[in-house]
Amino acid sequence: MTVQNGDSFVPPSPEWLAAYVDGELEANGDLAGIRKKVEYWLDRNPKAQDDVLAWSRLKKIWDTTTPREPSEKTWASLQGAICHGLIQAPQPTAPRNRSNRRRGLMVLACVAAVILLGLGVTWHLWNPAEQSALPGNTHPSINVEPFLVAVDDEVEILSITGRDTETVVVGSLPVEGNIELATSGEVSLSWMEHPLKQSEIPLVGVEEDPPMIWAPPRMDP
Amino acid sequence: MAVATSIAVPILSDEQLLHRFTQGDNAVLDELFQRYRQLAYRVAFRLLGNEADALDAVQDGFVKALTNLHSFQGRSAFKTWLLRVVSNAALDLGRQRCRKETLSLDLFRKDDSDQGTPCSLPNPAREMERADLRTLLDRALESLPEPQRCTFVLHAEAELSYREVAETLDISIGTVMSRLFYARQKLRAYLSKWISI
Repeated sequence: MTVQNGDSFVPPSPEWLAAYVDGELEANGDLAGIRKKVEYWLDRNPKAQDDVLAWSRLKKIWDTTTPREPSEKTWASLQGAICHGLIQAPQPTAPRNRSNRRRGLMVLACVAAVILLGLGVTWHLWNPAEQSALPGNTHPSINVEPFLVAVDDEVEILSITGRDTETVVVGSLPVEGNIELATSGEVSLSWMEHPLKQSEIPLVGVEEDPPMIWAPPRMDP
Repeated sequence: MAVATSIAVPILSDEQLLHRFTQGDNAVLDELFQRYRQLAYRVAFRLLGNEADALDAVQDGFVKALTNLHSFQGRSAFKTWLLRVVSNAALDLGRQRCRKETLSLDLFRKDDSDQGTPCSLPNPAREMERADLRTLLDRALESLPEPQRCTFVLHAEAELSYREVAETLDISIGTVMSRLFYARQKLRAYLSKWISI
């Protein structure tokens, strides 16, 4: 196999270089072509050759530092410790029994999950107002007044002051039921108490006490 | 005339031994241990750097492997599966003990006037004591990220092929090759501060 215009050969990937160093690119077989390309490229790249040689030296250093084997006495002691550990550990069960037990546990877990889910749904459907009437219910949140929200035809916005925002919340906290928010297209600023300077933009902000009303920065002309 | 006969003792495969073990034949433990103790120990030693910890990891690994045989589904060789358990045990032990001994590497320097200059020995493997060289290599290994360290040790010490390493660590062969490449780069960079490589 010849390589045409070898100077334009793309450097082999790190993976192929590692494989070459480890002798994983056989001289014969499917990877022979890749081996030849790697060798061709290495011949023309001395720096890369240095790397490959350095890896070979690393391997030699590695081989000279192989851990010394423990003594037979140490091995015997270790084997005894393993036997002791096996005695104390739960005994392995045969695969069939294990799978049946596992299946049983899974069924039990599923049933428990369904029960819990059902209880959770039931809890959410339970009317909190009725809950407060239950005797013996002393949870501290029971005495908190529910969130009241005004519907859109109950509110007339006369003036807005403060910073801007994308939505408008009208009402008194805490809120119960659905919250109807005015979006940026539904609110227009028709009057401001203090005229703006040229660079200012109108902001609708937050009062100290709720309700808090925000309005978008756009103004109708 | 006396006739000597030899009785061929059949060598059981790992799967046969494991099957007997699950049937309650604890005697096969001896054979399994004899087969893989050295390999497991060498891997654990490279990952932990000392005999005591390596023996603990081997003990832990064997116990876990044999008590969790239901997890071994036979899709890989028992050897690679065992080494996976042992290497995980070694890494866990290393994290728990969190040994951060600082080693004075001055002994690797030529002299005080050459602070920061690598010791350029013509043949470092011969000139340097084996124990010192192993210590240096241990420190170099510790500097690698865990995945690279584990991959390198399984390939270089346990002499697993790329495919076996991939099986052991449940990664692709390409990832094995990539990790080996970068591990060697880093080891070389680390060692070259102290020895000529």
